[in-house]
Amino acid sequence: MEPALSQLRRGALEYCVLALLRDQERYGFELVRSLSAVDGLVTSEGTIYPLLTRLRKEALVTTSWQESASGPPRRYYRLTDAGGAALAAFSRDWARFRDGVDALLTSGGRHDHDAA
Amino acid sequence: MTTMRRDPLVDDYLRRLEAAAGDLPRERRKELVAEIEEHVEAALAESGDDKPAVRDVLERLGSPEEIAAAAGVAPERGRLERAALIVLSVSFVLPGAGYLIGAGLVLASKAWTGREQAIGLLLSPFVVLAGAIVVLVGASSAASGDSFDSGLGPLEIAVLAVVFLAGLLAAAYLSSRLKRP
Repeated sequence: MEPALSQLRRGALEYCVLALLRDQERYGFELVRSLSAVDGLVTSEGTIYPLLTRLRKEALVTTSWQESASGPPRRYYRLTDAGGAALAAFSRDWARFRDGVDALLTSGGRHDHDAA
Repeated sequence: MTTMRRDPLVDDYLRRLEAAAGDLPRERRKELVAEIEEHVEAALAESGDDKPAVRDVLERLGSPEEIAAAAGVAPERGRLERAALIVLSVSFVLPGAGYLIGAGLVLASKAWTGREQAIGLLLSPFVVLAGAIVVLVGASSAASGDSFDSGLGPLEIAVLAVVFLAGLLAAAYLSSRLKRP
């Protein structure tokens, strides 16, 4: 993968995790496979687990063990209030960032002077 | 933990992960290995556990070394770690107490595993002491005991060697277990 893309991916990944948890709790495997389904977002699934540990340490998510119908109990991840706030802030910033970059990429900045 | 009979590839992978994560604090290492194990079991429960499926699941995880690196193996040397290494290195200035202060700082740090702390703090004085005694006994028996004009006996010199060298050796070993900043 391009170095630039891999840097963007690394920065955006944790917010993708928070976004997946916005409306529901999920367990690790489920989170990992949902992220993997997005093209180019995850190259090594195993590296998501250290990321989840970090999010838990930063109190953006909490975990709880829940029984599963098939097999051993699973660790479920849930968004905290702080996690929700971080996600909302990133969503706003990301939209502005994406629009700005898109505008430059498509127009080459030709409208800069018109706009000003 | 599980009733599923596991493919040896999985055990081998988890062992490699355990080894690659050897520098993590014990709790975090165990947790990481347990999480990856849980992932593999969930994935195989979904895909079936024949050989190609196992290979596919492990391949998607990435290498154990990559996962360990993402988990922050090789903790950086922070202020506490630097202070511990410096105090140990110059601990001979304050014999005994200097070493104890250095040891306290090392034990307060989370950058080293319990095993590394033990090797650094306990083994190094023993190695130096043993080395000093072997050298001195050899030298004194060769020179039939009268070559020490310093007035110090072999034991005193051995103790001095420990005071001077044990801290340095401990600092060198502990330093080698940390990532360069």
